Amino acid sequence: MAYLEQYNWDDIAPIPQNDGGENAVAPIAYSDEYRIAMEYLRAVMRVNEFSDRALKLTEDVIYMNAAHYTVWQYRTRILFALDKDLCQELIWVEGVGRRFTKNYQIWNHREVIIEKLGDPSRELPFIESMLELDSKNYHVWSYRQWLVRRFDLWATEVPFTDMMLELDVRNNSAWNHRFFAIFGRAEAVLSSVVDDEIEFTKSAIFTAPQNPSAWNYLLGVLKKSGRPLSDLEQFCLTLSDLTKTFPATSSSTTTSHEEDILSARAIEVLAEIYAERNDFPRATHAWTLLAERYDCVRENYWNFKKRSAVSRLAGCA
Amino acid sequence: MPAQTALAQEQAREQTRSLFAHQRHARFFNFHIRMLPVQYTTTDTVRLAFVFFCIAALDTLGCLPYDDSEEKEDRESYGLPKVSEEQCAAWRDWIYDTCLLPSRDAFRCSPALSTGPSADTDTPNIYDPGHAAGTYFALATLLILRDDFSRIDRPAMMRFLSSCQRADGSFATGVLLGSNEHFGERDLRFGYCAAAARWIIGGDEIPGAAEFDLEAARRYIVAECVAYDGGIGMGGFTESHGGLSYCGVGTLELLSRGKTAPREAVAEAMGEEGLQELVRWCLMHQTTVADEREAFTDEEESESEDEDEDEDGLSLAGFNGRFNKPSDTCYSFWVGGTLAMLPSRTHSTTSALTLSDVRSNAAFLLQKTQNTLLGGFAKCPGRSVQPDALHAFFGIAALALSADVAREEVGVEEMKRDEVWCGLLGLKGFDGALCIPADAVRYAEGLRRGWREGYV
Ligand SMILES: [Zn+2]
Repeated sequence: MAYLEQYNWDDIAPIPQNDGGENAVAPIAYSDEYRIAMEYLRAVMRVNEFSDRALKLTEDVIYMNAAHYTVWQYRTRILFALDKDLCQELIWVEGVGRRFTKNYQIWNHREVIIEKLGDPSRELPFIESMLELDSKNYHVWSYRQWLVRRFDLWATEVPFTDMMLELDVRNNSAWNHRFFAIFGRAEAVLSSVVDDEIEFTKSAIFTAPQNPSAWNYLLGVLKKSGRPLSDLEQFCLTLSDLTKTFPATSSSTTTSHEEDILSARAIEVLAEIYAERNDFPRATHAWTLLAERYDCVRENYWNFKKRSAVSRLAGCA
Repeated sequence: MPAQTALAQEQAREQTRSLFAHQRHARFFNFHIRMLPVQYTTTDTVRLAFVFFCIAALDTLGCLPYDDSEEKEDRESYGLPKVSEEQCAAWRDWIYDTCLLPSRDAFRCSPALSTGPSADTDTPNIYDPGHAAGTYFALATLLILRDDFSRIDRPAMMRFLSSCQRADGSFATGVLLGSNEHFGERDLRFGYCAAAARWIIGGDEIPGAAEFDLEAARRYIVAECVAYDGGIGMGGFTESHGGLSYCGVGTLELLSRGKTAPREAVAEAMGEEGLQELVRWCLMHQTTVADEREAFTDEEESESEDEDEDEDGLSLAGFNGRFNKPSDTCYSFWVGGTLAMLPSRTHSTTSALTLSDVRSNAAFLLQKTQNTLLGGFAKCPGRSVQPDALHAFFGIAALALSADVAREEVGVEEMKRDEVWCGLLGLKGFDGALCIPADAVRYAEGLRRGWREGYV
């Protein structure tokens, strides 16, 4: 325990945890190191001591429990009060981040430090190294959004998602970030940019026709830019040609044309397009294919869609 | 055939067929409430969450002395070890003694943060503030333990909870003493916890008490956090996420609970289109192993030998929390619980959970993440993954929600003959929004009635 070895603590009376003695509920079998460090930590936090020994202690506690949420606030205050080298702190936090990849607190801490320093130059390389460890880390992507907004770093973002999607076209976090990069800015998005996004996504879907992330992105772009779903009809038919099984004959829905169906999502979108234009026989045909053959886990849902369409039809008449 | 033999055979058959290791789970939580192993050190500062998981799980399993549920008789034949009234009283006292702040207006989330009585000094410990989630976990646990909340200052607690709300409508974990600075991540969890706490203490009905900016709270969720794919994220343009969708929808539901028909308020806040997109979003997170195999190239954790059906031909499909991520036990609850709070469409009385495949979800949990030897549930399938208290609780909660749907849709008699359902008949009915058994919620309604009518 570096904090004990490096500093004198004789003047401090450690504060043991009040855990209700014998009656403790779900007590944790702490290691001695952790229990003792926490006793010292309570003692210095109680009096809000800003000192080098307290700073070292926060470091040791964080290594044992990085999710301790108030120790980070305490650490930040010590750093600022003692006017510590904040670049040094960033380097230290990078080590903690790599060791505890699921931790949230480091990102909040880093945000506070960067806000104070006003210099984001270390951040994008660090973020990228963290995404190498876990390309879908929610905290890291959220932090990247904060950084881009805070320091106006928009220019790099679409190319960055190009690269991330090149590595894994199913990375939903990367698709979400792309949506942020295109539509998250204050200014209006050019129609040509929307065209490019639609083409980009369509080609991504050709490489993985069932990929829900790309489909949701495509539908999201269309909706955000006010374009009709029916723009996708030909694209969907290329992926899942329902015209060959409609109108249904006894054999057509059961065995043949399997090779014409590459994507359940394409069938779903076609069903919506047909329903929008009140072509309920075709819509029902598509939902039936999903319920019975191509997306059986959602059978109840596709049957519900059919029932809803029927009742809507009855309501119109 | 003599009636007695038929009955005996029937009983024997039921016992052998149940896939749910009810007794083992009771043992798992009886063990954990006595001692959390050292790897729980990283949960030290949110320990009340784990106290809640253990006690709420024991209650859902029917191990507490309070049992006002309809299925009570079914459970009596299980011979479960019952926790005594005295033990429950000791648990209640422990929560108050170690986690209620001296101001009686909020709870900390763990005894680890307390630095002893501060009455002897003028300077309060600024690092030991009230915690919105700690307050929810304490209140929900106390409700399960049939506490009367006489030790809490309810109007002051409403002041505390209201002080957690930021100007944009979102909620912080709490407020740092001295600086009046909100702390904690910008996360819908705390709004959920504040909304649940407010309902439990009847804070919406205390005359003259502080109140949330309800419109801002709703607006923040619906206008800021709904992502382009219809799910809910942590803020504007963040990725939609099962846990955050649960918290967002739960907040909408709890802020209006009792004021409108069940599920009506959520539908109204989301709007018909938003509702349909969110229902779809949730249902799309139910994944079969085939989906996962396609989604993950070899670097990610999918058991390659797994099939969509187990050896007995049971269909299996759990839930993930984000698209193209592997199924995880807790998302069977986060996403399933969200669906349970959503109507299938506006004005419908049917929950959208009925639109999912509840049986395949239950079968996934029972066959793939349940640990029938140690009890509990693991995060994901795999021989090397150990069960933990969080996933064990959410596994049981998800199964309880599924069983509630099956009671309605399949019927008890049919469930008794089904290997997936028969063992789940012993679980208490469950309130998806408050995340506790339904009979504890009925008890809370009684408390609220008492406060309203001025008995207490
Ligand atoms: Zn989980």
